[in-house]
Amino acid sequence: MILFAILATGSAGYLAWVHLAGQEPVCAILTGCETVANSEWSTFLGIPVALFGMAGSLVTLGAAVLWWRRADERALLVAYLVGLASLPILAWLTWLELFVIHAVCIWCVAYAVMVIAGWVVAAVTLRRVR
Amino acid sequence: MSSRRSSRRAASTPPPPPPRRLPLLPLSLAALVAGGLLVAVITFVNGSSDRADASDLLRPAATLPPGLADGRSLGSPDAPIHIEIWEDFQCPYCGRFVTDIEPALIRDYVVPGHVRLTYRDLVFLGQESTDAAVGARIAERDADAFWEFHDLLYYNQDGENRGAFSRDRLARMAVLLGMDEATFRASLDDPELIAAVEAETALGWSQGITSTPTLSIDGRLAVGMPDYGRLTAYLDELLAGPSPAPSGAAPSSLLIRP
Repeated sequence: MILFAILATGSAGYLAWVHLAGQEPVCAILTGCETVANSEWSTFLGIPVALFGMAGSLVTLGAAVLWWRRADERALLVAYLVGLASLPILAWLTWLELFVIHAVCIWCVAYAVMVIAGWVVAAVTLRRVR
Repeated sequence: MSSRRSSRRAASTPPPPPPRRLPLLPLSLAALVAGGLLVAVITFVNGSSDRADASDLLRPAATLPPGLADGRSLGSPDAPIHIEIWEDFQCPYCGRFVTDIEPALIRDYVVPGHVRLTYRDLVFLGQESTDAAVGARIAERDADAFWEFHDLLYYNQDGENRGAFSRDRLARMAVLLGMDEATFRASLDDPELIAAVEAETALGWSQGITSTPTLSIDGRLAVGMPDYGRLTAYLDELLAGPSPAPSGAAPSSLLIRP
C-alpha cells in the first residue's frame, strides 16, 4: 500500500510539476501526454488536476504509514475510503481521455493503476482485520 | 493488602468496551458519493464557463509595425537568426507565449532585424484547431492578414473544442478583419488548405516536434514555454558568436525551470 501510494504520488507530482513549469510531460511509450496536459480538463479553478491527485495520494501514503507503524485501524479505513472516493474520479478522467480528449496520458494511467492497486490492498486488509 | 485491594477493584470494574467500529457500508457509500459529487462539481465548473459566441471577440491592443509581416513570417529575410514557432491555436501555453513573450521578442529582436519569426502549424488538439489553422491560412491568402488573424485567435482562446473557434466565431473574426464572410466560410473546407495544415503538422512530427509551443531556433529545438530572460540571453549569445551546430536541442537553460 505504501509503495503504491509513493508511486502514485510520484506520477501526480511529475504531472503537476511540468504543468506549473509550463512544460510538457515526457511520454515514454505513447504520444498523448501533451494533448492531455494541454487540455482544458487538466486544471480545475486554475489549479492543476494533478495537484489534487497528489494531495489524495499523499493522504493515502500518510494513512498507510500510520497503519504500518501503529496498526491503527482508523488509518487503514482512511486509506480505503480515499481510494474508494477516487474510483469514480479516475473512471471519469479515463472516460475524458478516451472519448473527449481522444488521447491517453501514460502518467495518468500509471497513477490510476497505482491508486486502484493501493485501494484493493487496503480493502483486502480491512476485510481481514474486521 | 494493597494488592488485594487492587484485585478487588479490578474484579469490580467492568472490562473496557471494545473500540467502537465505524460502520463500513455507510462510509463506503459516502466515499463513493463524495467522489461522484466531486466529478459533478468539476464538470459543472469546467463546462459552464461561458461558451464562446461570436459577439465577444477581444482585439489585441498592440498592432504589428507596418511592413513587418511577410505571409506567415515576421521580420527581415536577412535576419541572422530564424525562429520557427510550432504551435496549435488551441494550446493554452501557446496563448501565453503569444500574449506574454512574443510582443517583447518582436520589439527587441524582430523589429531591429536580428530575428525572423515563422509560424508553423502543429495541429493536434482537435477539429477547432484544424479550422483555426485553415482560417489563418485563408486570412493570409485573401487579406494578407495572417498575423492579425493569429492574434485574434490567441486573444480569444476559451477552452478546447467547445466553440471558441467554431466556424461562426472564426467567420466573425474574418469579418472583423474586412474579409468576405461567405468566401471565408466556403474556404474552411478547401481541401488544399486542409492538406497544407496536415502536411505542415506531419513535417513537425517528422522533425521530432511533439508538443507546443516548440521554438526551432536555427534548427535547434527549445520545447515548452521559454523564459524570456533566458531566451534573450541565448539569442544574444548567438548574435555575438559564431553560429552553433545547426541541429540538436537548444540549451535546456532556455526553458522556464528546466
